[in-house]
Amino acid sequence: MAQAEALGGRFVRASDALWRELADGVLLLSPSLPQPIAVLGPAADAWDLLAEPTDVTDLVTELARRYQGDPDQVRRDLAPVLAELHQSALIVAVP
Amino acid sequence: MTDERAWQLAATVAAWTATGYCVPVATPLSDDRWRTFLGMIGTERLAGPLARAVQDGRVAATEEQADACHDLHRRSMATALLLDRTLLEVVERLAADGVEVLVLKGSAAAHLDYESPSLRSYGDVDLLVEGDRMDAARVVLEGAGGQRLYVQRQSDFDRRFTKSVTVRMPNDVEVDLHRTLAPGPFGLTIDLEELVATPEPFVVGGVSLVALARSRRFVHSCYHATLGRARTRLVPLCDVVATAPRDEWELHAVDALVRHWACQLVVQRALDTTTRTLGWEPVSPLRQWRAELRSDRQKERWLTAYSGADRSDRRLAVYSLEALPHWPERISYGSALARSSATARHLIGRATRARLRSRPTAKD
Repeated sequence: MAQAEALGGRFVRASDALWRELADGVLLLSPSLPQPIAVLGPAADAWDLLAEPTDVTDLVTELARRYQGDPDQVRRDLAPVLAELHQSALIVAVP
Repeated sequence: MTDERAWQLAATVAAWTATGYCVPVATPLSDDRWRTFLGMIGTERLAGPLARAVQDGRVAATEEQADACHDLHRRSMATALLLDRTLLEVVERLAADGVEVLVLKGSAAAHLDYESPSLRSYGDVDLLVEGDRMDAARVVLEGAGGQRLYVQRQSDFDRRFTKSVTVRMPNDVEVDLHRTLAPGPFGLTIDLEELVATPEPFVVGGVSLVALARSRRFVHSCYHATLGRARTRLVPLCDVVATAPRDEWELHAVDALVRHWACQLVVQRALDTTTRTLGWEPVSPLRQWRAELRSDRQKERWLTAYSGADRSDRRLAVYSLEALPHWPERISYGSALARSSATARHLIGRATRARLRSRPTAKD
């Protein structure tokens, strides 16, 4: 969470991100990635929710609801995913 | 499992995507048969439809077979994403040099004509370029490190007669710059200004692109399905279903094109093949319209030169002369072919002798 919080509280998909749905997740490609990356399971749900600007707290709450998980655990699991997506220029922080 | 049986099974998967119905595969195939079947699915570019059919239980598969299916889909979608990125780079470069393009097939079909782009695979980038800009477009791509795959027959052939020019980019992506939609006579009867009228926009990666209007995409799908290869490919048939006219208004637009381009036989054959292969029946008014399509013996001769046992490049060239409306074009076309083909020298002689016969003589 520290990573995601350090990046800012709200994120949205980058407008230049390319992506396709898979049976078990999504495949993503930004202009800077050499090859597409696969995002699976709940992380794919996060991509779905980030079609609109979304606060990290709301993201955690919704994913915890969908998967009936502990929000703190969801938050810990989500942080590196958001960090990687941000570093790969697939999502951008918004005010 | 024979290739033929694997293809029939692949057609079942295509049918399910196109029509919403297919004969289910109720029990998993043996691993050997599954491998042959999956290979055919890859060849026919149906990874997306199969992945969905497996997920929905229409095609039974063991856990390992399902994993192999989803892996194939993942790889085909990775290809699609890399092609889309190349598409955007190429379009941007061409636009910077004032070359406008329309996107054909592939990415356009995936984003405009399918429930999800994940259901449509493709293997290259196809762009429609105005004839007078063909050379400029090729130069732009060569400036970006691209290599033209085939030498131009003569200096103005691309601009005036060619169907398409293929340029392989440094990342091994093939970009096809199309002047028209088909080789040979059926490509030469297309009104190219009419072809690009009322383009349809779509968005890839936040960039606004344009494709052919739906009516033109349907006719293009029919060309692709009918004039392509010895064996029918399944994706063009799925495209025919995906772009078929849905009402009187859309049918009216298609009818006008088909009459003007004299491609009734091409469209009729595509619809018949789609019905026979996918079990798809067009609904009214398209069904009545199909039944009323009429062609002529010249077009029947033309069609035989494209595929099947009578396929012949020489006959395609001869019939292309028939399709060109003016004698200077016919002479020029024949001359261009003669530069690269000894067989085509026959065409110059034939065209010139016919022209001489039509001139008034001293006796007249």
